[in-house]
Amino acid sequence: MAILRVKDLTKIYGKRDTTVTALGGVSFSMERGEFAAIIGASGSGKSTLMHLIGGVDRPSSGSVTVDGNEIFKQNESELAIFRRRNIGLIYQFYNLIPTLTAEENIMLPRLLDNRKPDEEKLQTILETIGLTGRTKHLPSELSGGQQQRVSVGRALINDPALILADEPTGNLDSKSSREIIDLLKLANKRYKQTLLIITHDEKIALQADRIITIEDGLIIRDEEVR
Amino acid sequence: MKITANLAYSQLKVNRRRTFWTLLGIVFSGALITAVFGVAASGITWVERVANSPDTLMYNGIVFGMGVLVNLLVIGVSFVVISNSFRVSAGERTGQFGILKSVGATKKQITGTVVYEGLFLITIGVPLGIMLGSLFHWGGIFLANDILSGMQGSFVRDISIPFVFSWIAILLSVALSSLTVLYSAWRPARKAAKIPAIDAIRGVGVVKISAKQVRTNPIVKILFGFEGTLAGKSIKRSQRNFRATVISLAVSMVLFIGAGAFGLQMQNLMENDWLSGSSANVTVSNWSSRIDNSLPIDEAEWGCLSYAQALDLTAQFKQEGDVIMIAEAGNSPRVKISPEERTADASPLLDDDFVPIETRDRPGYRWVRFVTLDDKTYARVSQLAGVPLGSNILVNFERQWSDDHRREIRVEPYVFSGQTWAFESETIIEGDEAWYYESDGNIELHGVLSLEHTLPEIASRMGDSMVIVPPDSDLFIQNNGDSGGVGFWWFVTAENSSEFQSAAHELIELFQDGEHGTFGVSNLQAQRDQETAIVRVVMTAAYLFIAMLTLIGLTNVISTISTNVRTRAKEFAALESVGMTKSGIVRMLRLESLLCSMRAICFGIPGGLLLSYVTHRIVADENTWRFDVPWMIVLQCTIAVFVITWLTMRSAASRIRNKNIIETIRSEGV
Repeated sequence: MAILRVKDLTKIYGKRDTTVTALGGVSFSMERGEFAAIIGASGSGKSTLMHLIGGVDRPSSGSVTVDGNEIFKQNESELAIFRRRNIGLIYQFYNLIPTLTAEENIMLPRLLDNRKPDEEKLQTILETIGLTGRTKHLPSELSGGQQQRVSVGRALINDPALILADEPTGNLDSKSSREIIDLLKLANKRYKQTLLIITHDEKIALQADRIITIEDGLIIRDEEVR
Repeated sequence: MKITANLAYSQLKVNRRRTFWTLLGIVFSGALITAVFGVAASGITWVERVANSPDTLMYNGIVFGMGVLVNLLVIGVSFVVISNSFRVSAGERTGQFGILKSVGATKKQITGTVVYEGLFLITIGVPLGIMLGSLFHWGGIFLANDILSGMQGSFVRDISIPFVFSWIAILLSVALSSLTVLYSAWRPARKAAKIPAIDAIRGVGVVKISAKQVRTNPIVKILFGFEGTLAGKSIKRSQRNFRATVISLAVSMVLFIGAGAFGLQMQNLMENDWLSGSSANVTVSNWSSRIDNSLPIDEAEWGCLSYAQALDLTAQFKQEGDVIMIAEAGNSPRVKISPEERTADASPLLDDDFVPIETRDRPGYRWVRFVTLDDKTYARVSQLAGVPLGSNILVNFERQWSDDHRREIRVEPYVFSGQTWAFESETIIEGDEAWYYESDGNIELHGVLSLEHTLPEIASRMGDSMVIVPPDSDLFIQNNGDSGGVGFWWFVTAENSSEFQSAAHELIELFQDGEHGTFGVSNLQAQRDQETAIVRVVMTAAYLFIAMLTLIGLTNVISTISTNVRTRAKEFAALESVGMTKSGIVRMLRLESLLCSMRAICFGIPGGLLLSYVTHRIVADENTWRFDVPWMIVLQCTIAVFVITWLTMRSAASRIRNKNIIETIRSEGV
């Protein structure tokens, strides 16, 4: 069964003379455990697509169904709760809460659910992302690569059905970039989490099972790589 | 701790400076609310002790109502100030809210991260505020009692306002302070939580700028150059940030100007009382009264001092200080004033077409009172009138009222030409209700005392009659009939008014046998001291209140301007990177403070003048009708506003001098 189904997704910004069509009716689906990469030039609509799938933004028209739930039929609170439990988001600029420690940032989705931290799960995540020794550090005390690891940990903590990563290596050096992609691939393979990455790096894209190419708000190519 | 509380707490820790100023604002706000309710509680207790009337409940209601009204003003200003602080806090965290939303935080949880800030600050700020407020309450009562107890009058010495610790007042203060803070936190938090996650992440949700919004007045550029244009755009762009600053400064200005003008008005009222211009500090009076009160008026015998006895008392009073004695005859004859003898300002009662109110009134006629003075005072008056001793002197003075009966107008109603007037005395023929008039002699006028030269003591005795000052007591004795109306007034300038008051009571004791009329002794000095002290207490309380209110606003001014400079560090670094010098940036900030001050002044001055005029209309009496614009107070307030914003901006700007461009542009987050 498709874990993600995007149907005729459209996003238009502005009014009258200043309208910009960021997405012009995008449709595709992904199976559970699939790893796909979205590539395209700057301004092609990749990030817009990512934000819509993640429920962070609302489309002008179209629908997104995640794990059988049509997310835009939910109100804002329901969508937030759904996102917290079912979608993991990773951004280019980490987007950590600066006043929380690494451990707290990782646990954030669970803490928002008022659930007690699962220590065993946390340890597993920390070991997976390789940050067991720096859990009490604030983001300002971590390197870029470490911060992105924390971001990955946060995305994984609730075992989400879908992980969305928007240029996760865009702000990292090559070594850190490799490490992050390896982590994401590990989560994909080990936990069967569906992974959708936006990247402009072809080397990263080629590591995916499938590459979706976007141009001017439309999918122009969708091909299996392996 | 819940994650939302944790986020709130860490935000407070991170922005220690703003947390401090916000906390201080909450403490001052709570203190003021507590002090006002505490003083109201003391006032209510005092009313219950002093008032001995069935209207006590009404007075208590008035006192409590005034306390509520004053506190509404405090709450209003506090809300503007404190909510601005939370709004700035929420605004700084827009990106953080976007992250939280993207991770799955609901609007309620986002709002909670700001509201919890308020809760934490309440737990520290409100108790501190209550304690400080109770201290202000106690201090205020102590100060008031200290001022009031120093007065000479026995009435005032017994005032003694009690310090009352009222649990109801404390609970009300806690509730109102807490609710004010919570609402101040909730409103901006709720607004911030509504920003879509994607806008928050991108940082475009907070500031939506349109070209129209940032268009500045071209005069600013001409006067202050490009830095002025940037400063103007910054103010327009961040209107909300500066709004609370402008409001709190403007409110303080309005209140200071209003209070200052009120104080001047009170001073004016006291200086222009019924005896303004007189040096007398004690008055003694004796007027005729019925010897046997059980008899009807027309059958009664009237008792009063004789002229000789009055002169004797005058001589004794003169041993204690300077004395002016005025003797007023009982019967009042009338004279006819021809139109040629009246000025344009003469009383309408003299008009030939005047309609009599009762059968005694006749058009063109005026009552006359003969006011006899002691020798020394008469000599002074004749010198002022420019006539020799032995002259009959007309006092050319009349009080009239404006149409609304609020304003006294003093005029010279008569044309003096050395004329001779014929008297008419009136009487009722027994058994008949009509008044009959008989000729009763003539009086030749030898001189006139102008309005300007009329002694304040004589003016104080002017009613709606004409006054003629004869050289001796003949006319007084001639008109000193058996129907009362005789009186003696002594205006004494004693070295010590209280001592003379006691001495006067001893001297008149001999005559207080019911056969020599009724006596009165008034310590004018004590009355003036009492009025001065009460005004001092009221004005001190008013200024302290306004100062506290200003302090609440000041916490916001400092916090807003400091935060504004800090959050724009990247903007300044970007300006530097394209060539603007640090001096240019500092100049731009100074111009921002100048423009901000000018906005506050544009509201503060007209508002203050309006408040001054309104209070003037309410309290002005016939002596102080003219409204004088309190320019000095306006100037002082204006300077204070400029100084406050200048110093704050200067302090904040000094911190940007040491920043490195590249580091600042690169840095993200806190």
